[in-house]
Amino acid sequence: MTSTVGAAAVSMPSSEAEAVAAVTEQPYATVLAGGTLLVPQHTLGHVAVERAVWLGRAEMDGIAQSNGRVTVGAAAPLAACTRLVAPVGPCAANIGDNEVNAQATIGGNLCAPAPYGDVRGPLLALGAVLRWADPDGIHTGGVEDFVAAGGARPGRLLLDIAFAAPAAGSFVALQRHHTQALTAMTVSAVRGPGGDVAIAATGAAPDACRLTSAEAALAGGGSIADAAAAATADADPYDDALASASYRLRVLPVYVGRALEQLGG
Amino acid sequence: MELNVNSVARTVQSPPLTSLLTVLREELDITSPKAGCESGGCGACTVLVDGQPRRSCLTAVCTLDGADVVTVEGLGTPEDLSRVQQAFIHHYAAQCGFCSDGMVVAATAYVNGGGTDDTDAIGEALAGHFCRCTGYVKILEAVAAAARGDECDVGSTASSANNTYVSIAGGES
Repeated sequence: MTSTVGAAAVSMPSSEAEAVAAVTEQPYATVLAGGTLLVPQHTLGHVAVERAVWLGRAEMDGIAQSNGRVTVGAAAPLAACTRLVAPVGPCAANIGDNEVNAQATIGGNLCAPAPYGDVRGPLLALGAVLRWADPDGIHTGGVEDFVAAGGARPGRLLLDIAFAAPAAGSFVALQRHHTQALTAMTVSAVRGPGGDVAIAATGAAPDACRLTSAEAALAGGGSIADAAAAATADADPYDDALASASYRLRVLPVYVGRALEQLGG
Repeated sequence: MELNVNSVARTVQSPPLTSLLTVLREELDITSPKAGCESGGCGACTVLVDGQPRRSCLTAVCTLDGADVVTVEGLGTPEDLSRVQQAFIHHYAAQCGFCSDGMVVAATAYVNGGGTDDTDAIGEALAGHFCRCTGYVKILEAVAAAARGDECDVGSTASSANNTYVSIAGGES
């Protein structure tokens, strides 16, 4: 059942199926989860919202772990995700201050492009599988597939995120004072059950990316220093208010090295 | 929709995506939550929602139907201030006062949650709250005093001379 409040239409679905129906019907609605990005934009008049769907009652905030596989509902608060394995847990803990961390959701962060979207890095490294709905049905794919398909476009609803718990994981972020809510760069590393290492970064390119050259250096028997040096080949550095392109290029090997050191042998 | 604000049932007429901050200040005339950055970055609008600190500027009011909201107006009265309010006065933890309401609310949640007088823990709990006057040391002292349960005389001001926070500047405690 979907209820509405007040003059402006805000649907409050009570299940995932109701949420999918509400988001995919035309005219397309704006998805409201934690609200930490949408509400201030609405207040300041940067977005016009005629119809919204609030996920707070849709039971899409669960976290399940079974047989080594973790499934996280898109509306799970970041604070609840901090207990997940590295690199996802430490990444979730690094986003926002206490109040924002408790309110923002993992799906909302994933759907928000840079300079937000920190969780894209860990989920890329983990090879996470996303499940999303749009008017054509239910789809599954990786973070890169979701982004390539247009990300959080109108009529689309991210449902959940699933990944296999890795043998080991690490996460490092270009540390900032709490007065800066955004992180200029993160590097996530994951060791799979077979010993293979996957590395991904945010802030090294306009969107989160795998550092395949660094991975190949490791797979070829190279040292951590070799892998760190190779990482710049995968970068597409850019200037923004958080860091310059040249700075990003300089610090990327440092953070790749730290992530691999933290990952351990 | 209905809100229970400072233990008083209030009916809200604002559109559903209106921020709680706007509802409190503009519709309910409760002005302790301050409109600082209005984007979640400064902490001045923080209120308690069902006992937890929340940024009222980031919270759509439609998500709070039936919730308990507490602002500074609901923490104490001029004749019977809360423990945190007394500590803020005794330790002179306000300069211009713009951040004080959010600070007091967040500190209240911290103390109510069993927070200790540990400097790092208090700093982390208040990390999202900015004091543009940079009066952080006094604020830390006040929250630590409230966490310890110190008797704080609002008619006098504490001295920092014997305070452990001297140590964070590299001196001896």
